[in-house]
Amino acid sequence: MPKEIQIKVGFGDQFRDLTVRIQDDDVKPWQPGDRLNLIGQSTPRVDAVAKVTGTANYSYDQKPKGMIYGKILRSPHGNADIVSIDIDKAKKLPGVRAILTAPEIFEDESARYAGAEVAAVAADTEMQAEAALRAIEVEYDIKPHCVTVEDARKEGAPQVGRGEQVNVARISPRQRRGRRGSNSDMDERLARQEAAVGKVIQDSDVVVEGEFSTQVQTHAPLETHGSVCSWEDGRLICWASSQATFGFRNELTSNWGGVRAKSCQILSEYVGGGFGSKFSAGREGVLGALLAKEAGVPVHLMLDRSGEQLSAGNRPDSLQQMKMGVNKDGVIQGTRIRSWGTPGTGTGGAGAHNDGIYNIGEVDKIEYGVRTNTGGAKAHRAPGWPQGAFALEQMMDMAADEIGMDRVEFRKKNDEHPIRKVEYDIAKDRIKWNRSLTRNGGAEICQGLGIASNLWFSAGGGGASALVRITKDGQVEVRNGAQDIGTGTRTVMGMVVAEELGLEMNQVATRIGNTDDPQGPASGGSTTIGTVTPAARLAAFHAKKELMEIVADRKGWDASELDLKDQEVWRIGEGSTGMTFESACALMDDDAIEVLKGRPRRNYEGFSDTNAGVQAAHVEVNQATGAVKVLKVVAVADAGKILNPLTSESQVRGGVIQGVSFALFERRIMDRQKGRMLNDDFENYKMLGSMDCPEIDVVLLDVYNGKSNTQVMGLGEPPIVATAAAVANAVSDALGVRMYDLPITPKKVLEAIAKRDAAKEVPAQKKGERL
Amino acid sequence: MRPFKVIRPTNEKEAMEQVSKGNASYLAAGTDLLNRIKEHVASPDSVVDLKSLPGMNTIEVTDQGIWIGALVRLSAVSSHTDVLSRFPAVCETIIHAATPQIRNMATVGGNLCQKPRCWYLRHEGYSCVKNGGTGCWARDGENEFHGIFDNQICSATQPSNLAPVLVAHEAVIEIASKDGVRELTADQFFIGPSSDPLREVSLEEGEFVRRVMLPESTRAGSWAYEEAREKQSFDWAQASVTLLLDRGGRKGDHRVVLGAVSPAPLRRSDIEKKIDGSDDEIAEASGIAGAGATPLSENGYKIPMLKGLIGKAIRSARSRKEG
Amino acid sequence: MVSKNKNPENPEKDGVSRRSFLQGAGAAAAAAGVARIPETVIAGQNGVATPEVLGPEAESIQLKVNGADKKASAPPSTTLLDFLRNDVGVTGPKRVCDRGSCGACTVLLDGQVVDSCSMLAIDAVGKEITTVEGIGTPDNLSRLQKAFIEKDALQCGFCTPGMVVSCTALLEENPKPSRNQIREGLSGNLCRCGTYQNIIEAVEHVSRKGG
Repeated sequence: MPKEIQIKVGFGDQFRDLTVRIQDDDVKPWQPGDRLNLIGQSTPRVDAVAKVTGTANYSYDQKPKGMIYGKILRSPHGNADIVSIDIDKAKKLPGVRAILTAPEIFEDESARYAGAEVAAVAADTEMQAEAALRAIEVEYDIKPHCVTVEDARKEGAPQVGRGEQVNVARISPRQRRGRRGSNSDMDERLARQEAAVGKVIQDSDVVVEGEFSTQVQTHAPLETHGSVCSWEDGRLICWASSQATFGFRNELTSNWGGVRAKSCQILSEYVGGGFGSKFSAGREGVLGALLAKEAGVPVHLMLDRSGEQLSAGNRPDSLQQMKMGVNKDGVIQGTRIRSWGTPGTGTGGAGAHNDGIYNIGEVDKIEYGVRTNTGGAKAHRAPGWPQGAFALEQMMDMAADEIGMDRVEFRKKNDEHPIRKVEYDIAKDRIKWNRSLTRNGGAEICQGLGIASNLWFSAGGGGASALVRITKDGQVEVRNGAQDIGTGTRTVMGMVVAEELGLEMNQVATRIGNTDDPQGPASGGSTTIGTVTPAARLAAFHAKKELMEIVADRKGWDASELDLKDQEVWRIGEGSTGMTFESACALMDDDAIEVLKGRPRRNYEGFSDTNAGVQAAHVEVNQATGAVKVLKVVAVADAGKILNPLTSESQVRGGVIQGVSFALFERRIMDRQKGRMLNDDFENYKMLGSMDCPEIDVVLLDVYNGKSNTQVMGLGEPPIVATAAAVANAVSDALGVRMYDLPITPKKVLEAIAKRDAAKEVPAQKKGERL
Repeated sequence: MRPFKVIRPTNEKEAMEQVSKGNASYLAAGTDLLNRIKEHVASPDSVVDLKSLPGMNTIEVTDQGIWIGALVRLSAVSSHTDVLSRFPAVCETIIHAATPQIRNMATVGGNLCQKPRCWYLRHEGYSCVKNGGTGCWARDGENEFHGIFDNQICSATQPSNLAPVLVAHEAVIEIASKDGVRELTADQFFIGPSSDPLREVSLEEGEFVRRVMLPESTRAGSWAYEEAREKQSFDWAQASVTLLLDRGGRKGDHRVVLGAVSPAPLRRSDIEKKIDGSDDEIAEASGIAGAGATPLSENGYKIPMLKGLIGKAIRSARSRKEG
Repeated sequence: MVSKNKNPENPEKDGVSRRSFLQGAGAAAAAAGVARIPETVIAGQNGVATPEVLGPEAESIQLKVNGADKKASAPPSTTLLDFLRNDVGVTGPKRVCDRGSCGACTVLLDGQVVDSCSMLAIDAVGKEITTVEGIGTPDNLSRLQKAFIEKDALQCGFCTPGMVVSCTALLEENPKPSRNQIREGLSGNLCRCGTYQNIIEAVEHVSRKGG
C-alpha cells in the first residue's frame, strides 16, 4: 500500500509543496533544512587510496594461478566471407593450449569489416599466442566494401550486408509491422507531414537551413574490453571489464556462443572506463570463457588497443539536414530534419537527437541508418545527443542572428525548462556574455563565445537491491553487485548509508562489482546512482529501525522516538541519549542485522522529470594556423539532489573534456581503398590532452527533486551533450563564418577562412546557405 | 611482440658485421623500432644494440661547434646549457617533439633515422614504393597529414622534428661506415624518394650515425621555430617553419627550412631572399610559401598554414632580436 | 573472388617476414626442450671480445624495482612493461596503447619518466625502476597521492598510476611549477575520464605547501 506524504520540491527560490504517494516502507526524501552530515558535502572516493597506489586490481591485472594468455585474430579485409580456417600449424606451436574459430562459435561465416573476429588462441605466453595467431591460415572470399555513409548511399554501392539487407533503411519513424498496407499508409503520412511542415516553414518570417556532419568517435576507454576467465567445477568466475555485471553474467549463462555456464560470478571491482561500450560481454567475452574452458586453465583475454579501436564500439557519425522557420518575435514555427548515420554493419542506433531540448515548432523528421563495412556502434555517453545538439545549436544561432535577436534570448523564447531558465543567466554571467572581444575574424587571433544546452532523463528506476549488514561489534557494510566505472557510485552508496546511520564515511565498508551480491543496474542512461542509492538508503533505514527496536526493547524506550546521529542514539527532537552506536550494536542477540531492500520500481511525482544544463564556451582562434584553443567552458549543471559535490563536479568536467575532444580532435579515419581504419591507435586517434584542456567552471544546482528517497538524478551523460555545440558556436562567433562539420580541425578552420574571404570579395553572392 | 635476438657489439666494426648478417636492425632506444615490430611492419630476427658501443653518449663543446653523440637522449640535448645558449632553436624544436617520456628515451640518432609516420607505411598490408612495392596509397587515400612538396613518388613526410633545424644550421652528420668515418651535411643526409624511395637518410647498408655537429659558424643572430598541429599535447606537426637570421654574424645570411610538408626538410632560399628587413617582408615572404606545391586531395590547407607560420616566424625572430 | 590468403594480416607482401618468423618460432620450439642455463643479463659488458648475444629464447633478467630485486625468465624482446606486469607481478603500470602514446605505463628510470612499453626490459638492467607502487603505499601515502585523493584527481583510475609517477617526477624536478609547466609535464599522459584539471589542482596543492 503506498502512503501519502508532504514534501517540498524545487531549488533556489523556487520551492513548492507537493503531496506524493510513496512505497509504504520507503523513507521520506531529505528536505531543505534537514541537518545532514555527509550528503551534500564533498567526500573523497572510498577507492581512491587503491587507485593512487596502484593496488586497485582491474580485470587486466588479474593473474589467477595457472593463467595463460588469449588473443584474437581479426580480418584485415573491408568485407569478406571466411571460406576456411586452417589451424594445424598454429596448434603445433609451443605453448598453444586452445584455438577457436569465430564461424564455428558464432555460426557466422561473414567478416563484414576489417577488424571482425576470425579466431582466438590461448597460449602460455603472449608472444606464443601472437605467434600462433599469425600461423593460422585463413582463406577469405573478399567482397567489395564501402566504409563511409557517402559511399554506401550511392546508387549501385556495394552491398554491405548479406541476403536481403539494403544499405540504407529508414529507422525513424519505423515501418509498422503486421498490418497489411501499413507501409504505404506510413509513406502517405510522411508525405502529408512533409507538405504540412513545409508550408509552416515557408510561411514563417525567416527560413534558415544547413547541412551538418559529425564524425565517428570511439569510446577508447583506457582499460580495453575483455576478461580473465576461470572455470572451477563447472562454475565460471570471470573478472570482467564491464559496466553491466549482471548483463555480462546473463550472457555467459545463456546459449550465446555455447558458453552456457551453469553458474557464473562476475567480478568487476575496478573498471577502467566504459562510456557506454561495456554493456555486453561481446564476442571477446564469449571467446575468453570458451578458451578457458578448452584450455582447462584461467585465460587472460583483454583486447589490444587496435582491437579495441576497431571492434569495441563507437559513437556513430551523422549527416543532418536541417531547415527551420522562425518568426520575427523569436518563436520557432517548424523544423524539417533528415539525417543519416552509420552504426556499422547494422542500421539501428545511429539517430541524432536534434529535435529535443527546445520547442522547435511542427517537426518533420526522418532518420536513416546506413550500413557500412565498419566496426559497430555502441551506446556512447549520451547516445545521439552531442551530434544532434551540434546541428540544432548551430541552427539556433543562425536563426537568432537572422532575426537579430540575442542568441540566449532566442533560446529562452523557445525553452520552457524551469531549471534551464535559471541556468542561462548563470552561464551568461560566468562567461561574461556581453564582454567585448575581437570577433568575426577581425584580427589574426580572434575570440568568440558560444552557448548550448543539455537535456537528460535519469532519476533511476527499479532493478536494484542493497544489502546492509550491521554486526554486533559495530561493523557496517553495504553491498550491491553493480559496478563503478569511475563515476563514484561506490562512494555515494557508502555516503547514503553512513548518513542514514549517523556514521562517518570510514565506518561503512562498501562492496560492489560482484554478481553474488544483490542485483544492480547497468551503468547506462546515467541511472546507476539514482537506482542504487535509494535501495541502499532504504536498506540502511530498515537496518537502523531493527537496531532501534533492539535498543528500545533493552532500555524500555519507544523505538519510534529513536534515531542515530553523530554516532550515537538520539531521541528525536531531544538530542543524544549518550549511547554510542557501538554500544547499541552490542545489545544485539544475534551476530548481525542484515537487511536486503529493493528500490521502488517507479519514480515518484517530483519537481521535474528531466535534468537540464547550460554550457558556455570561450574560444580563441588563430587565423594564421587554424588552431582553435578552448579557453574556458562554463558548465551549469543540475542532477536532482547533489549527494557528493566533489565527484559530481568531476563528472561534469569529464563530460566537458570529452565534448571538447569531440569538437576539436577525435575522428575515426577509414581508408576507402582497403576499407580499414587507419588510426586504430592512440598516436593518430587524437584525444584531448593536458595542454588542450580548457579551464572548466562548474556550477552545480542542488534540486530537491522528490523522485526517490535520495532524489538524485544522473550526471554522467548530460554534460557532454552541449559542449561540442557550444564550442562550435564560439568558433563561428570568433571567425564570422559557420562551422558545419566536426571535428573543427585547423584544416577546416583554414578552409572556412578561405571561403569566408572569397565571399567577402564577391559581396553580391547569396549568403550563408550550404544546401 | 615477436621474439628476436639482441646482439651487443663491443665495437663499431662488430656492430656493422652483425647487422649485415641476415635479417637484423640497429636498436638505439627502440621507441620507433619496437612500435614497428609490434605493428609487424618490421620483423628483424635480431637487433644490434648500439647502446653497447662506447663514446656515443656525450655532448662535446668545442670552438668549432657542439658535437652531440647519436645516443644522447633528446631531453639531454634540450636541457644542455651550451646547446641552449648557442643553438636555442635546436632545443625549441626538441621540446615540441613527442612527450616528456619519449624525449627521455629517444636518442638523437634514432630521431634522425625514424621511419615516416605515414599510416599506410605503418599499417601491415599496404605495399607501396616505400616498402619495396609500387605506388603510394595516400595519393588516392587519406592524405590530410601528407606532404605537399615533392610528393609524386611518395607523399610521406620526414617525421624528425630535429631534421629541419639541423639543415638550417648546416649540421654535420658523422657516420660510421665500413671504410671508417664519413661526414655529410644535414641537407645531404636527408633524402627524398627520387634518390631512393626505400630510405629517408643517406645511410648505406650497415652504416649508422655516430654523432652530429652544430657548427659555431651557423649560430643565429635571431631565430624562430613555429609549428602547427591539431593537439598541443603530443602530436605531430602538420607544418613547421624553422627560421635562422644573420647566421654567424653575417647580415642577411638567413635560413628558412620547412618541415612536415615534404619527404626531406625543405630549404626555401626564395623565401630567405624576401626576408630583407623591408616593411613588407612578411607579406612578400609568406606570399610565396606555396610556390612549387602540389597538394593532394586533402592537404591543400597546408599552404595557408605555411603562410601563417612564416609570418609568425618572421615576427617572432624580429621581436626576439629587438627584445 | 576468392583470395587464398595465407598471411591474413598481409595479403600483398611476400612471405619473407612470415617465413623467417616461423623459423624463429621453430628455434624457440627446439630450445623449449633444452634446459638452458639462465644467465643474468648484465648491461654494457665493455671489453668482452665477442658480442654478447641474448635470446631469442628466454633469459634470466633481474631488475631493481622499487628498491627490491625482481628476477624472472623472459625473452630479451620483452618490453619493460610486460616484464613488470606479466613476469614479476608489478601491475601498477598499465598497458593501454602499448606504443608510447598515452603514458599509462609511465615509470621512473633512474628518476626520469619513461614509457615502459616502449623499451626493452634488458635495457633497464642496473637501473633504479620506480613504479607507482614505489611512490607511496596505502599506509604511507605520498603528499601528492593524498592531494590526488583530496582533489578527486581520478575517476576510473586507469591512467592514475602513470599520472602519479609523472606528477611526482615533475615536482621533483621543479617544486614550484607554473600551471603551464604542469600541463607540459603531463602532456605524455592521457586520461579518458577527464581528470586533468583536478590533477593540476593536486600538483598545485602540493607545490603551494612546499615540495
